[in-house]
Amino acid sequence: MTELRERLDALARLAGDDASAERMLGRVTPMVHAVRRRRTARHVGMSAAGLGTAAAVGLVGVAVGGGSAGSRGVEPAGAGPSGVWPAEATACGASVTPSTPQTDGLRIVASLTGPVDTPRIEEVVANAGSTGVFVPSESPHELLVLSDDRVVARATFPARVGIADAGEASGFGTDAWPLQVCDATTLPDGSYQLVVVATTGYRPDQVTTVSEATSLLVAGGRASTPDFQRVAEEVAPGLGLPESPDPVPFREGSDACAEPLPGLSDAPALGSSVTLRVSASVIGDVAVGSRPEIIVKPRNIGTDPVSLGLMLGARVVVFDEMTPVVAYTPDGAPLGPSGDAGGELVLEPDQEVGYVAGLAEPTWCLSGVDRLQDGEYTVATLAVVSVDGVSRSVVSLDTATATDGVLTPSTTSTPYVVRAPGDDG
Amino acid sequence: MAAWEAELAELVRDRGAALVGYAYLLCGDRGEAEDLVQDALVRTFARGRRAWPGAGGADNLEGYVRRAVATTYLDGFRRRRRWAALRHLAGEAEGLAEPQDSVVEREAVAVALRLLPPRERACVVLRFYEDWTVAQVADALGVSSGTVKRYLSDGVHALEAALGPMPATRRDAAAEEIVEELEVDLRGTR
Repeated sequence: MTELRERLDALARLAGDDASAERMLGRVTPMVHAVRRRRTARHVGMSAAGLGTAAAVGLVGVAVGGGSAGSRGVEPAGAGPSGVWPAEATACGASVTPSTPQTDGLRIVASLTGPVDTPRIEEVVANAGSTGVFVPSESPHELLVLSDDRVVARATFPARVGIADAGEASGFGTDAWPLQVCDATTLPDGSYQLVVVATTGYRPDQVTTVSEATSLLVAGGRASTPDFQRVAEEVAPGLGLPESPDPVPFREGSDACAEPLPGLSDAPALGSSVTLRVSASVIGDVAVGSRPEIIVKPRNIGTDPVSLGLMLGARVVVFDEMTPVVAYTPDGAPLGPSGDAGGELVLEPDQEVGYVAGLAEPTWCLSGVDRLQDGEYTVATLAVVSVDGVSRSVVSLDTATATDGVLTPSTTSTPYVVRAPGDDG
Repeated sequence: MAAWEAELAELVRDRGAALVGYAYLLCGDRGEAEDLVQDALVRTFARGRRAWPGAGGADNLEGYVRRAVATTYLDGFRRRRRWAALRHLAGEAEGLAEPQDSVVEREAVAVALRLLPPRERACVVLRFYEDWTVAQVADALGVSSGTVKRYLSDGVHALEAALGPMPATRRDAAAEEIVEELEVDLRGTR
């Protein structure tokens, strides 16, 4: 009489064969690929959700500084004779050359959003190479803000990557994260470049990669990375990046309550060639001291590409039965491609981009009112859009519901339609 | 090819048949066994290397997958226990390609195993084939150790009724019972 284990073992050996193994391999591999992609996308989605705004993205057609320059070496202060640059040693004022990949196929792109002193960081690591790359989790990544290729601000953050498998991408983000600003208490308004420095490989052969740069805009104490989404999609196609907020601040303006919105009751006659539709909405807490946000979405509904140039943020007025209740006047601060001088975005047919901006404190149009009462409102948003080189004002009307002082746009907005330049009817 | 792909291919080609065999012991159906292993492989490799506790080599990785097979089976068993309770009565012994000299013996084992209620079957396989402790089996099934011992006792008796006496198995179970009682006593005196 044989022992039970031997009998079971003999039985088990009969059940599986090499053919079944190959069958399983053929089925399991694509399933794992799919699950990993979904998990990565979901992970990035969670990070983006943590950024605090369920808003659209600015896919701004500005150049990625240094992004295509290829390997040009790194010259940071304190670089050792081996050329390996310890990420934690980057000094303020150090000269850094973006896009210095030391590991074939590894690409990193990061974003910085929110209050500039404590922004939120999001990073995507993609490996387009043919072999896996070890990105040690114990080595924090360093995020550097560059001005003229010099470090003006920096932050280190944990980047839990581990093995970056070939052909795969992963993403993660932080909540509010301290940004150390060099030689100033806060980062001045302006345009900067953003790079990530990461250590890759196994000891003792670790090398340091400086990512390509993304544009960083700072205005009014808020930071945004308008081309992050585009670059992230480029380095990690199919990653399924969610739309993420990209706030570009407005500046404080004059009292808008007394100024009628042009076009609100007197919409210009339109021609026959429809090219662009603009919808806008205000979201957030509408009360004294609050800073809600505005989302503006131009969409090319024509059949030809549209060159969307300067898009200037203008006034936003919340109406109650056509009586202005609260107004915001961003004073012509740039919104969208205009954030980068000369920036221009070509919108393909059926393509939509979005821009999000924080609004200054509201101007209350009714005396004694300091908080929006619950109910239905009309939100009128005035923007100046340059389409194919011709600027015009557009007004978008949206209905919104205020609940506990928080304004939520309805799904039945009335987007304003912009016709082709020179086709004013 | 990504690193995990190479590890997956190596594991499946080298140990895939054994994994399917193990799953077959649990579920008693060849097709379902492949599905179980597939699910376990996807669970394991979709999580990535960091999710494999102690997975420093192929053996550990296989062990992790085997555990995932058991978990997947038990999870499914919990969801489908009404069906499983009926299936073993309605099912026919599955013909397996095997050498003629052992057909009778192995077919007998397969039939005897198939006739066990699913929980008894899981207990027997996990305890006597996978060498899990009674406590581990109890934890996996979400039942008490005493219940597992009862399942094991009933299962072994049923197998012995079909296949003849298995003294080694009884000794093993009795020895473990003594060890566990000693452990309980020791914990009580600390």
